[in-house]
Amino acid sequence: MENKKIPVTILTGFLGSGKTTLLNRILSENHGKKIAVIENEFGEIGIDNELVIGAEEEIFEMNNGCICCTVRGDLIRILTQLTKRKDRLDMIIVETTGMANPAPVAQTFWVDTDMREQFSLDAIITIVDTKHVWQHIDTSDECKEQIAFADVILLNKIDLVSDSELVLLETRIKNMNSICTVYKTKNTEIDLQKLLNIQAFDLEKKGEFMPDFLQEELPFEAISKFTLEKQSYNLVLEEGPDPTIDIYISNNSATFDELKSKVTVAFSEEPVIKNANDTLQLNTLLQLQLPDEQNTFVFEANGGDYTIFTQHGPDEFNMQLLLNDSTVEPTEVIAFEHSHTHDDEVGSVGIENDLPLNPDKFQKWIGWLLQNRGTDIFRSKGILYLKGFDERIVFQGVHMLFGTLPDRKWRADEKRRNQLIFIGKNLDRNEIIEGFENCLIKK
Amino acid sequence: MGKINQLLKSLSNDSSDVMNWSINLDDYVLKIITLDETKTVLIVGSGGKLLLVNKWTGKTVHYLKIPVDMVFFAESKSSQKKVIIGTDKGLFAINTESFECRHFYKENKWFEKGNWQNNYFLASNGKTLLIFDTQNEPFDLLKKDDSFTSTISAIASNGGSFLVSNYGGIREYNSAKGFDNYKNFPWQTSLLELAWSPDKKYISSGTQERNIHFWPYPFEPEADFEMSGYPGKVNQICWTDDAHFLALNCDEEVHIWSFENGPPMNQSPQVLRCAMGKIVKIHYKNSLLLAASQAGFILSFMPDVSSKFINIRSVDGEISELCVDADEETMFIGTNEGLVSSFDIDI
Repeated sequence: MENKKIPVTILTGFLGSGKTTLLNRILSENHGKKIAVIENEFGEIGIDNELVIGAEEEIFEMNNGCICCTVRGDLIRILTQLTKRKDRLDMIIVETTGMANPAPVAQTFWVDTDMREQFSLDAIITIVDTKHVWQHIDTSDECKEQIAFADVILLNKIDLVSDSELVLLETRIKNMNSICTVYKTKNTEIDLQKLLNIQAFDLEKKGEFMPDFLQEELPFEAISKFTLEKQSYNLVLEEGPDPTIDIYISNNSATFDELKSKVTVAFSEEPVIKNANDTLQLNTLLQLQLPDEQNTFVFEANGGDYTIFTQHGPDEFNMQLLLNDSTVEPTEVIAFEHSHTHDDEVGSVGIENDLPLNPDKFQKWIGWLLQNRGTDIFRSKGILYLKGFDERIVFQGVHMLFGTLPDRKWRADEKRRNQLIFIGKNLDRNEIIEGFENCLIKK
Repeated sequence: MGKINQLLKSLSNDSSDVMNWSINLDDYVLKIITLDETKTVLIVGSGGKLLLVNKWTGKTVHYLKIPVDMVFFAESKSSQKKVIIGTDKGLFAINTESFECRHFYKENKWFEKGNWQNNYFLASNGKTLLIFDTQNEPFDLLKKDDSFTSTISAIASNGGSFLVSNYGGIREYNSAKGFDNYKNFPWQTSLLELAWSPDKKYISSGTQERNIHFWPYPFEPEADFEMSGYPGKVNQICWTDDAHFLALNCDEEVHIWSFENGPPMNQSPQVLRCAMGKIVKIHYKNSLLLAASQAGFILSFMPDVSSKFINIRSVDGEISELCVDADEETMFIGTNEGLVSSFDIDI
């Protein structure tokens, strides 16, 4: 009696971001899968021969008294009906409304026994309208949570924004959710295999687990690379979160790794103060004064490749390099996660360790952590190496609710290790890491 | 399935004479209805397949596939020789003698709940309640009420009254007073199936939050009580005809609460341990209790004699439906793969 769980994908994103376009593509593409779509925006989408079910808002708190533990009763009812079929569904997609918090949808798959037995949460996909997201990203909690919850983010409508805007947005998003996989799309055109049945709890599949959130802390948040002519350029910065910004301009064509140490040292030195209309010199730490709405500085380039290291993200000051009033696009912008961001401290804490975990200790600790910090921990997931188990243990949680399930067996040639990520706001990195390490069986 | 369950299954199936007949509907068996006047059994599949078979032989009398993707309920009324079926395309009425099918209400929505009593049939889709007068054909739609604030979760009836529940509470309609007025009893939780005790003294409902809630009827403020601490949600609540006992499922057990002397405050239930998979269907009438498990076992109990099972049957597949005929001599078991089997009840 096989009881393979049906994977469920949760699709979020603000109104107009492209959710319906993506759904239409998923349902109309010839993939041979039987997919049910559950949407809670009224007005069904017109797709023949497929299930599109209108669900209604019915969110209730669980009786554990926690305000962040909420479940969707209507979703349980609909999913229960869908299990009463002989022709088994291959996949279910739950589309949430533009302003919805995805937590109650995701939590449904751990709280209800029947749901837990029959369905598995495959991934949370958030579609971001790259043109209009800036209107919400600072002010809307829903927007931040949709980004923080996501396993996969589609930066959609990239044809409507410049490359530098796109890089800035990606940087911003990675600061909030370091583990999400980001794809850039026009009209949500993407290989569906990257979105469906991807088992997003498996951090190893990303292949970039470590570099994203165990990177060293640098004194600069971004570098912008330019190829410039022998001309006089204007560097323009608007008012930002700070009245000044430290920058360092290098004309060295060396690689970033070669420059990194030199510039890191330079950032520890006393900066040279620069006021509006001053000329900026190379290979010196400069502190730009930004008292006005728009502040212009002069940069005389001799031609070639230049790199500008900035203390903060250039988007925060809408930094632009102008030549005769025309914007010069950077050839590349690289952002580095900083210990303090101003996205209401939405961020991630990642853990990787090769030692086995004591199952009892881990259970107690994770229970305590999510009970006491669950309101702020939006999402937690990963693979556990538990002593006494031959299988990898999958761990997934939303706020206080979480589940652990045995996955496949560890392969003989595979290094057993724990990989976990916590995404949320005001996370205490030291507390989380210390608590986790206390659960390890040290040889 | 565990090895012990497999062994038990092979043992329980060894005597082939226990099974009267077995057929394959090739559809998830949603409902089995015995039609005693015609000695037939109506089998309703969730994909729209309907099969009328001879009760004794299993031989097909009629077959019909209604043009729907999903069936959600089938409610019969023997005096009218009709079964009403709720689907994703509206409501159908099937004549159980001629097997004539009429699509009497067409709307592409999920009609998930329905209840028939006296001359009235109540059906719901989402937050909308529809009330039909079924006295004459074509059925007359008396009222379409979309004033509910959340999805209707259950409809129950007893003695001319209907109860309709949703997340906001329970409404009581009295057919004698018309359907424009109702009494509302607010209740903020997610109610599952409603079960009204046959003596009309109690309304009971399993909830999403692992307990059973009771309201003495007529409703009174703060007179409700609940039994909590269940390991999962309770979705099978079965009153005996005399309303003295209530049986419910609790994972691999059946619990029986005695209401002979009023609400069983400070008492413990009688526990029938099945330990052969999660109990998904219960039948409790007179002194016989049948419990069907997801793993494919049907256990027979005589609870007033013993808490131990006295007989066991099994089928291949996960049980989705259990039905017992009026004389309690035969039971019909349906599975989610479409198998329907008939067994004599030997006790």
